[in-house]
Amino acid sequence: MTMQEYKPTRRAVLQGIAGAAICAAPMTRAFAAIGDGITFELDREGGWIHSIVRGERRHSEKADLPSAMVYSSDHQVLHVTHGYTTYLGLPAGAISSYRVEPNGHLQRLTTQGLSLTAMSPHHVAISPDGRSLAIAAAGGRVLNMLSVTEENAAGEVIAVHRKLRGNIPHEFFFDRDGALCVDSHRYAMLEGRLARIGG
Amino acid sequence: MASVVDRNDVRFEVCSRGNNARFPASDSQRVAQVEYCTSAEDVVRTLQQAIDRGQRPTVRSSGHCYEDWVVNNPGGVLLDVSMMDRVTTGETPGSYVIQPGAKLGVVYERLYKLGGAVIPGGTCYTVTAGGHVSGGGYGTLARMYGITVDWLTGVEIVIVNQAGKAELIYADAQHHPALFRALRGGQGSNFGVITAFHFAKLPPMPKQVLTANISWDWKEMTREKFVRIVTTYGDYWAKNDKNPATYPVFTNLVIGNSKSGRIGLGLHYAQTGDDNEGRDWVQEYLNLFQACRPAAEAPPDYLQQQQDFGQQQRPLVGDTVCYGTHPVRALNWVEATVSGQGGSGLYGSNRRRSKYKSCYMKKGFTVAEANVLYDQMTSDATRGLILAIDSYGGMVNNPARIADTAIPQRNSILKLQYQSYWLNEADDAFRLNGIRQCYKAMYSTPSADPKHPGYPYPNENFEGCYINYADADMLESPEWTTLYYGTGDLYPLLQQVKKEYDPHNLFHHSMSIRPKA
Repeated sequence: MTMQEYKPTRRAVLQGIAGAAICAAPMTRAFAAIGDGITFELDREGGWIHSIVRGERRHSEKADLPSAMVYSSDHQVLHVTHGYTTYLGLPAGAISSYRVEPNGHLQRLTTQGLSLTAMSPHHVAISPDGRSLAIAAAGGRVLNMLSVTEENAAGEVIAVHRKLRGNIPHEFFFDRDGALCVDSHRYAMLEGRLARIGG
Repeated sequence: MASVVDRNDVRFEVCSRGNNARFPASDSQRVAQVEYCTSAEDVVRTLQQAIDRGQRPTVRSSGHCYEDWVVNNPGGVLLDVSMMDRVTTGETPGSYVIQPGAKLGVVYERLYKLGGAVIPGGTCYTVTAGGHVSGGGYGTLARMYGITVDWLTGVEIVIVNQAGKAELIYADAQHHPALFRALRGGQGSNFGVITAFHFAKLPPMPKQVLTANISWDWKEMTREKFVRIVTTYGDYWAKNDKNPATYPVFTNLVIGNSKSGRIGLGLHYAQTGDDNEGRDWVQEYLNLFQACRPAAEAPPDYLQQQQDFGQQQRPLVGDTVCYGTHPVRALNWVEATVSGQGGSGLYGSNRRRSKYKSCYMKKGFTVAEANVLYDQMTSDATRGLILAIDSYGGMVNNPARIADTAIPQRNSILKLQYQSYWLNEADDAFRLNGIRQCYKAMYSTPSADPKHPGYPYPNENFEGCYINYADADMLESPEWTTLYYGTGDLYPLLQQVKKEYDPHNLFHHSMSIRPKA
């Protein structure tokens, strides 16, 4: 990594979005599509994840406060954040990982709590190598970095980054180098923490 | 400058963990670095750097936190104040200043040397003032002197203001009074980093302590005998809480699971007068539980055993038997408190995994409760479980302290601590299930609030739990804050203080004060 200020190019942004399949615009419904004609739709208000296969709704999975989603790098697992303000008695949101069946059905693998104060998560991205998930939570102005397990499910929170001032970003992405690009800055795991790199 | 230990440092493995081997829960949960601070200025600087880097700070004085509040902090900074350990006289005569990293054993020793004073704190030598005092500071002198925060008159604390800047402030009854009240039992870890405790005066250290005990073997225990011991123990304090003659007394009834322990009754009588003070009381008290046999029947070596072992026959093969009078040891108070203890404050490979729960009781045990306890303590499912039932009350139960401290439990006579210790992670589920099962059963009798079964929710019998015996299982109750902070105005006040002095909720953990929505 070079230690210079990072100015993301349009190309870098598109590459990042393509790799992460981000769908987290702050709207009632969000969509995510993968190959073979399967599209997933989040019904945030109703609390559903709908599978749409070749234009037809084939399956609906009940999900508490689904707020954002992203595919695993192999497109076998869908990660969906829950916009909780409290999870298991703690002030935190959560993320569930679902195995995607060929017919579009979802089978929940795990649900993992986010860090303390990471309430109301609203955005999620996955690294190009598929080993890390980044989640933004507006409730606590917090970014979480999570590991991904061997089964491609969301694992433990491995780092927390907190902004006391300024806006928490609504969108971010991982670039080709695996750096997390947030606003005009890049972040990476360095010595056990999520550190700003490149100025 | 703070000494920084990052993940590449050979010291990191040891210094990034706590006393309870359950934490950090995994390597991923470890902090990114530990920073050993040596001054308040160090704390301000280190805290500011952590904020600017976007890291969550947690604070450690000794690392004895029962739960995951400190060392579970993925990617964060652990501010360690254990080297801020001075105990000095203050600016006014009779006043003292204690830094958060001072071990309690050192506190007692220094206060003895500086002025023959004492804090009515705990007896674990390596526990330090930071967490202990700000969470209440309960110990064997509580019935005589109250708890430590009852004597606290000022606190230096580094907070982080609305602008995100770390600053050192001083809180007392005149300056930041709401924060001061919050820090008298509401724990520093909710609001900032405490750098010094101020005491305008402290009570005198007792001259001598009388100790005595009785030990029972489960092999000789029956349900009836067990129920009698437990109910007698509680009933005594229910009747004698307000009796000043019992203020110098601390008692604890320690019940180990029948498969792994014994039952022991211990007492301390803190003498401030002559050598005879309290000796008659000790005999009368112990006779409530087990009368002595005539001295003429004593075996030939009985007196020698007393001399050799002080209080009890060794090995402990059966119930303690006494002839004539109960054996009593008289020890210099400070010597008894600090001798033979010690510890480095680092956590070696012999750390144990542990789990704790607590309860304040306003009355003695009912027969129903004692029977439930018997069932639980003779169950295979609770193997390894220990219940320490400590005397409480006396000077602690001063109603004036409800309004100016953050310890609302001022009507209790007993303080219970459920404890389980084990070595292997493979035993986690069994041990945790055991302690949880016992606790749930104990607070599901008719004595418990029917709306809150399984918890010692405040009612005419119970007064909740002690925050320094932290138990994250309580989070399963939607009203867990009531268990710790009562039904009065305290928790809303703590939330208001949180909003004002930690507006970013930077100082948080699983059981921290929740900011008002």
